[in-house]
Amino acid sequence: MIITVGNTKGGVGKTTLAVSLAISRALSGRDVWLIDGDRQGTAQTAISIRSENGVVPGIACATYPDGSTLRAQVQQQADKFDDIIIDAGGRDSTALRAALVLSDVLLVPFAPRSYDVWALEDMAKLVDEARSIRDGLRAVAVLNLADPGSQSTDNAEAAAAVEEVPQFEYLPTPIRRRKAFSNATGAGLSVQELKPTDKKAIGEISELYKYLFNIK
Amino acid sequence: MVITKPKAKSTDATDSFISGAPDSGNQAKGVRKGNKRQISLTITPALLERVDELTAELGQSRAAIINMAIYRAVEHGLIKE
Repeated sequence: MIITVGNTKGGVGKTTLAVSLAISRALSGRDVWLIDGDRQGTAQTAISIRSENGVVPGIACATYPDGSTLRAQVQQQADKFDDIIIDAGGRDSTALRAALVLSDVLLVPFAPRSYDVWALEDMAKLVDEARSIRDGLRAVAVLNLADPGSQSTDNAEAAAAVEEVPQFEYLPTPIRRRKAFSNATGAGLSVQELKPTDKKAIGEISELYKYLFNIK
Repeated sequence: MVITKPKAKSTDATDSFISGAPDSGNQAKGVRKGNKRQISLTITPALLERVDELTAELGQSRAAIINMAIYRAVEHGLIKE
């Protein structure tokens, strides 16, 4: 399966989610290829730190900020991997568009802030364009950086906001703002590998993972 | 020596979707104004004065007169036969 974690808006946690999902998938024994479509190369750096620290399983990771190169490489190499996770940068870019052409699922993380919700409209336009040239692109939006409090109404409000953008299906698996996510991905790890363990963070990412990969 | 030429850029819908992104470097330079492009033009005051006389005479805008003059030049040639 090819999953793109993308949003035209920056700072919504795309790289954090892409790295977490790629490692989670690798931990369950799948051959995963993580593609960094952002010129900043943050995902690639995180994976380099992982390999320098000798953490297993290692993750295959490549950086293709150029859309046509990304498309050509993925088309050529896709059969060698079980899953491909593409992290596509915080702006409208050729890499993001190429990823939309290739992916089975587009995962759009957004934070519970007005600016982020507005940006969903921009993403929806790109999804429409991509759907005009291809079939079967599933686009899902997931709340990231949500308020950690259990009384928070973020989730309900976000669900209502996404309902107004019919291009997206809302995933009821919010990821909350937890240190564990940034600490883990900064060290090239998933929260499942981080010590001390943050059970809530693991629970959240596992829920998202199950929804995305259709695991019952 | 055999020289391999790089493949020509294709024009299919997928390629044009991908290369339509702002970072593709394929975007037309300059300022768009609706269907037109904005350019800057410098002109001598004397010639501009004559252009303005013509605009007053014909009841047209400066831009219209300049556009008409350019149109005539490109359609019928700059030099009068």
